[in-house]
Amino acid sequence: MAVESGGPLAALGLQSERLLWPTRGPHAKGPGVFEQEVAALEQAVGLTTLGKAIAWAQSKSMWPDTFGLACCAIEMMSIVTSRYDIARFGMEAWRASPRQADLLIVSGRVAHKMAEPLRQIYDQMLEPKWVIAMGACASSGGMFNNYTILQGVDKIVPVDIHVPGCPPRPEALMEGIIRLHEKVQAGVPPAYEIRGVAS
Amino acid sequence: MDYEGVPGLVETREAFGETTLVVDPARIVEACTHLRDAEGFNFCSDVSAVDYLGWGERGVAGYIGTRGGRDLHAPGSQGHARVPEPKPKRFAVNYHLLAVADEPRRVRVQAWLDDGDELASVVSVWPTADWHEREIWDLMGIGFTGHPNLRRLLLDDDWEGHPLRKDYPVGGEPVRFSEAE
Amino acid sequence: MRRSPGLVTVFLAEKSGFAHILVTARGHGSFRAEKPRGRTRTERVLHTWLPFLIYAILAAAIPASMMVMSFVFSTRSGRRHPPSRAIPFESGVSEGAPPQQRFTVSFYLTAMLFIVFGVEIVFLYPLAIVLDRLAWFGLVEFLAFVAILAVAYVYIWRKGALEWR
Repeated sequence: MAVESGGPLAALGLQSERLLWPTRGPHAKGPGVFEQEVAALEQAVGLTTLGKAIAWAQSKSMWPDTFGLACCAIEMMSIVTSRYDIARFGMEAWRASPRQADLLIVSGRVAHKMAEPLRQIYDQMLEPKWVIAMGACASSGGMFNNYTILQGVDKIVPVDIHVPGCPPRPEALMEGIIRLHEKVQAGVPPAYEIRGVAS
Repeated sequence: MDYEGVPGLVETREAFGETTLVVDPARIVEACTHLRDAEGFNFCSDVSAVDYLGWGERGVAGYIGTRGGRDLHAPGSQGHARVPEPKPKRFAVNYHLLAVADEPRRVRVQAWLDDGDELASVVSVWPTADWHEREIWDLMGIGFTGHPNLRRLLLDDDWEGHPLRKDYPVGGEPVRFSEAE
Repeated sequence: MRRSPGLVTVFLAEKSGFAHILVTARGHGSFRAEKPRGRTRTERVLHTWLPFLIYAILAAAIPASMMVMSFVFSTRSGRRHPPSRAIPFESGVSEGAPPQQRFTVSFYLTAMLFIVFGVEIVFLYPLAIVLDRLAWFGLVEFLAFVAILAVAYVYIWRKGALEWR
């Protein structure tokens, strides 16, 4: 937590601000790695205006599929509540059918028995579609390194964003979702066009 | 509580306020029927199985002792490690029963089995034991004769092995930063 | 010389609902209910129906534009999809559509009979409205019509087509 003073609003009476990290002075931190990479990709991809409009529309109204499996599902449910409010980003419309969903948030541990339904539901979604692996269990098997839990859902579906945590706080999941929106708006194609695994 | 009339009763144990009736596995259905009809235990709360393979060996649950081999909490042991009482057989199947009445009572019926033994199914006594026994078959490999639908419940239908036995490996994948590195 | 109101004026007047203040050359406002005098037939028809025409064009244009836009802006994926994409959604445990089963022919029979007697009813509604003007002649003809269909009904009934198989 950094306390800074003397910014542009000092003349208007804002004497000091508390910030997450310093933005001025010798320890100032600029954009993070993700932001830099996304900016570089945006330059490289170079979407047309029409492409940008379509990408904007896709990211502003990306409807998730109800795929809550375990404890992470509780945190996923809570982003719809008024405190964290995913409706600000146009995503409060959770669809029960994968045919109407854009985003698959795999929230929770995936047993080998559940892997086949997961893949079938992913197949039944229509392009373009994105996948967020929420939590440690979806990303890598989490604390369950045993005979029954699939060690990472990216073995069977191509994943765009991994959100760490056990479970990730609602704000952490929202950060993952917003980073996905930034990726989409920069023109990065969905994961099935990039990864060679499980497309 | 006095359960002398239960057919096949081998032993009654009382510990921590709970009554355990150890019953001959060959007469389990008679014992359960008696308990349901004569004693009023109309609710089968749980049927579970325990695998005591390696009981008493070092490093296995039940071995009473600290890492250095001393049990500070066992009176009369002078802090030395003690080996617990050996169990009669490898598997124990426990039936937890509840008498739903104005004064409810609980009792546990226990049957001891070796590997490969089969037990008679109590589905005819309490139908709710159906899935409990399927789960025991799936995870422990204890068969139940007379069960209407003895298939795997939790694991895939073509799974090999019974994972909750003590000799079944934990599985999983090798992970970086585990103690081997 | 009376200047008839132009098309746009008519349209705007009708749309805004202020037709009653349409000023004729005589200087009065005319109410909508009054038959406008001195117009040709074409002008009268157009005066009445032009708003509907414009409305219909808009009503057709909006869904058509949505469909056209979805074709124009769609991305061709160009990938081969797994067969599980085409089967019905059953929470991930679908094994495909069930094999073709026997069709219950009673559905077909019921639909056909419904059409026949439904058309009969449709003929009866306007008859009911004008029956007072048709008097006895109308009544007898109507009874003949219903009698023919009643014969058909009895035939169907005795043949057992009303039983569900």
